[in-house]
Amino acid sequence: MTETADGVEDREPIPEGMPTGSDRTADAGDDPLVSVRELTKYFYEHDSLYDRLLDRGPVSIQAVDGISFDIYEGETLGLVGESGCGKSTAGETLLNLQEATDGSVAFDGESIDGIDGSVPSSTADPPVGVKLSSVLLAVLGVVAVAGGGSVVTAAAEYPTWIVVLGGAWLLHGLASVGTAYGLWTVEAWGWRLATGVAVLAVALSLPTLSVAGGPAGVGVVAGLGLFVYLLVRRRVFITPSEFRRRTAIVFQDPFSSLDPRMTIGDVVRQPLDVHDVGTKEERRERVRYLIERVGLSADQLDRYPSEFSGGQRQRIAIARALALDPDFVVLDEPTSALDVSVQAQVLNLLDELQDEFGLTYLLISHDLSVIRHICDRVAVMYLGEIVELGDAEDLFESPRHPYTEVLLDNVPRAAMGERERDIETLNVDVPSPRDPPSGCRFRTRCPEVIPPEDVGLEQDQYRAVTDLRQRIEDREVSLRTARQQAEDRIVAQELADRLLEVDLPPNHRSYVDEALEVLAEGEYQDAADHLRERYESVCERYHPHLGDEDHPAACHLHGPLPEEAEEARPVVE
Amino acid sequence: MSEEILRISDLSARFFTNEGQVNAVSNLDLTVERGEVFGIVGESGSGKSVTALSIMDLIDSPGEITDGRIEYRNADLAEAVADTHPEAVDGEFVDLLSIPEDARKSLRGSSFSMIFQDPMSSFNPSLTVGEQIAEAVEVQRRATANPRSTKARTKSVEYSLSSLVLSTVLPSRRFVTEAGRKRAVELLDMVGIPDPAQRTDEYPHEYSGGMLQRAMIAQALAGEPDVLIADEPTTALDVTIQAQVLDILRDLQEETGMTIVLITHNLGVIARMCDRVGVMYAGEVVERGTLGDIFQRQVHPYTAGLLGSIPDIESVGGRLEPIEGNVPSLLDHEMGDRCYFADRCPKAMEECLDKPPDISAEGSEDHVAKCVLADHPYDPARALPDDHFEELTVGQGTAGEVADDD
Ligand SMILES: Nc1ncnc2c1ncn2[C@@H]1O[C@H](COP(=O)(O)OP(=O)(O)OP(=O)(O)O)[C@@H](O)[C@H]1O
Ligand code: SF4
Ligand code: SF4
Ligand SMILES: [Mg+2]
Repeated sequence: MTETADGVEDREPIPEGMPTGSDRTADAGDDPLVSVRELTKYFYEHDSLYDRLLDRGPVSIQAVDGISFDIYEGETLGLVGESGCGKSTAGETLLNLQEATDGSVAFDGESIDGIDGSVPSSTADPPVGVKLSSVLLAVLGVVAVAGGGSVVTAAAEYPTWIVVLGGAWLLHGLASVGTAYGLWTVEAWGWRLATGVAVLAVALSLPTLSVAGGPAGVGVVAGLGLFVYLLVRRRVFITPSEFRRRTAIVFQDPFSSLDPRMTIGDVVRQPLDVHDVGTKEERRERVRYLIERVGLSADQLDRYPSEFSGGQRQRIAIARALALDPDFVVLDEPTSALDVSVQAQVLNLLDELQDEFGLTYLLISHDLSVIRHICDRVAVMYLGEIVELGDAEDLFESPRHPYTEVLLDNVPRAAMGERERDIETLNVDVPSPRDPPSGCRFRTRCPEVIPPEDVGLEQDQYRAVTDLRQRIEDREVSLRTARQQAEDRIVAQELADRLLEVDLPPNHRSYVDEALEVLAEGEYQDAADHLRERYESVCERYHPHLGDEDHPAACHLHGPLPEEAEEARPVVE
Repeated sequence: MSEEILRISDLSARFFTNEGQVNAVSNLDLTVERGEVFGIVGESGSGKSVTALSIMDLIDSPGEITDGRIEYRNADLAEAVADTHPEAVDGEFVDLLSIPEDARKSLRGSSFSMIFQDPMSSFNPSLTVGEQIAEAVEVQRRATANPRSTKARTKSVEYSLSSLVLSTVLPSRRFVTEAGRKRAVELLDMVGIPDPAQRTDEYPHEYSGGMLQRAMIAQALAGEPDVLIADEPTTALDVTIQAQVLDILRDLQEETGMTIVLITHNLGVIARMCDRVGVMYAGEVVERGTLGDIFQRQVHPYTAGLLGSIPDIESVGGRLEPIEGNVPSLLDHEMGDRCYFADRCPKAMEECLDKPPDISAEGSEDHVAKCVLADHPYDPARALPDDHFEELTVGQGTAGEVADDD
């Protein structure tokens, strides 16, 4: 597993045409393979120097906002939600393909450095130039230490070569630790050189040191060696390179995710080359095996991606993802660009491969039927947050969050009787992630939003009043239009006719009219405040948290309200 | 119901491309009844959009309708063209392919209207939504008053840079009358845009995707068309927005009694919306009938395969029963003259190597399948050997791409 770390001859042998990885699933225990905690990713707009000169503050887009979940070995976790809810960003940030703003990810029990954005991580392997210069640097380092060492030896009467070897040993240690922490990438060649020198150093310095420094000297060297060895070998830290090796991703668009200038054989072999796995012959064998395993013919290895259909390209992308025999694969809408008949082929293939290679999947999709078909557990995302998380069966049979209910309800079923099925449609579109609603992010659309106690309005009436306030708060009501339209009527009256789509009981109607009169004067804030005073919902004031029970839902309808919320509940006479 | 409004027979449309002749639609027959929602379902490249564009007379070079009749029931039109083009007229029906270009054009908007998958393509970004709908209304009004002036700048399907510049320099406000504006507000209200009086003055980019889709429907309704052709109207939308848009289409259909031809690849959308359905494969309607015919009594193995391919949201797990193989090439020289589905069909027999005609099948009167199974059951003794098509299919991997240009 750790070829880059201490690489002498520790490269993983490539099985001849046989699936590998099943050895890892032997103990499909209770420990999660992937543990995500409070993962957060913001993008910033208006963040250039120009914007700063104009004194424009950066606008954050809260693509992923503190999501936490575990993925257990061998399972498929589904991540479902509407477009723009942050599903793909979550997947990419989790794999460290995008730098996280905050939060942490642990893989196989070990934390992934670089995820939290504090340590720069390398997402691509270094080009040849970097490889050469790393070798050169290693040589220069040895020479430099040797030069400095000769001065020391002259003073302290040690043989020069002890200092030289000691220096090399030191370099190797630094390099290992540095890479383990993701401080720099040392390419395999550099590693081999450094390791070779280090092994030599240990071998030679032990007897010499036992003469010069006695047992204490031997102890120090051996202890240091053991420490570095453990650090790297036992993977106290997963190197970014190894993490990348044990994870893979398949993207939605099979038309743009493959390099059109590479033959499909090269496409699939590239990860093997980059990670320097196996001999040439072994690599070729592996590529043939994979291509055939995903249902293409090995005769087609020399063809270019453009010669294949969408479904075939997606198979190629899957073969490539499996090249390094990963443990964990993120599937980002793997079948969304495909026709239904081909989608079914690919879904079946993914299913087979999972069993055969002992894979763990994170399946990202907007298609609830696909999610239900494939996933063991499901996380529902809305505007950057996970709002419900549970066993697939549970979640589909008894959804708890109002958003999940609406999503499931709105999927048209391909069955007779679908025309007669009543469904609840939402009238409002998804708000912008630049300025997500306070409290519960779903509250602007939620059909079950909780009105203040004793307000005495039907849900649709309450919704109408809330929508009206929302529009006033967003300054979306144009008074100019209203004045034009009103002609000789009262502007507030015109506003009420236009903006209120339901009838309200008289006491509420007059309360709302008061607000509209204020609005007609151009006092947006006061009008909104007036309405808020009476109609503010707990859903707006308090952010619901995802609990840690078996099937949590982030909604105030479930679980107790925060204590202050109980006290602060507005009482309406 | 049950009065036919549209009768398409033997329609063929071809594209003449560098790679050769593409048989996008071949010998297509179907009828649409007044006031129904007729669904056309099929996979990418099966010819759904080309069929729709043929009805709208929007097929451009390198494409061409090479054969067939598209007959539209319209007594007034029949009377108007009876003298000059007697061959086009059959009772109240008029063959749209045999009447002059400008007579056909004048039907656009008032008789037929179309909505697309991508609403941005039907709006000009530099005019407000209201102006564009009002303009469509005005065009229709003038067209009815004086059939000659049917030009509208915002009606073209795509926008070039020059049209953008032109419309910016010459704002079309003068084209928009007070009555037109009022109607625009009404139309926006009909499609469920909140606060239409104000929204009408906003620009397309100020609308969210779902709202723009609805605005496009409003625009298509401006001429009170007889037939609304909706080409994948909800494919780019999220389920919650899709549900809104389908709801609106259905309400409109119930209110106005217009006929809708709904094109989609989503069988769920078909089940929710349609009265009758045509299943397309490789440019042909391979099976058509009522919802029950298609969902419960389907005969064609392709229809069965499509239904078996969709994961069921109501139950978990299990293997899907996909259709093996890939979408076929529509290049004329690669097509042959057999059942086009034979190379993927699990029940292909020797007789399938001759093209099967439309054969009535059990179920409703309208139930027809282009498949020998409608005539006699599968006989393993006559099954084609597994490798029968192997030689043919090598090198056809590219079938999918040609279709992906829309
Ligand atoms: N402008 C064009 N030039 C060349 N070929 C075309 C053109 N338009 C369509 N075709 C071809 O006609 C065939 C049918 O295409 P059509 O767009 O009708 O399919 P569709 O069923 O609507 O597919 P989709 O589900 O992808 O929208 C395809 O093979 C396509 O490549
Ligand atoms: S917290 Fe309130 S607004 Fe949010 S989902 Fe629950 S009921 Fe709806
Ligand atoms: S005609 Fe033959 S090959 Fe074609 S669909 Fe029917 S059974 Fe299959
Ligand atoms: Mg199409």
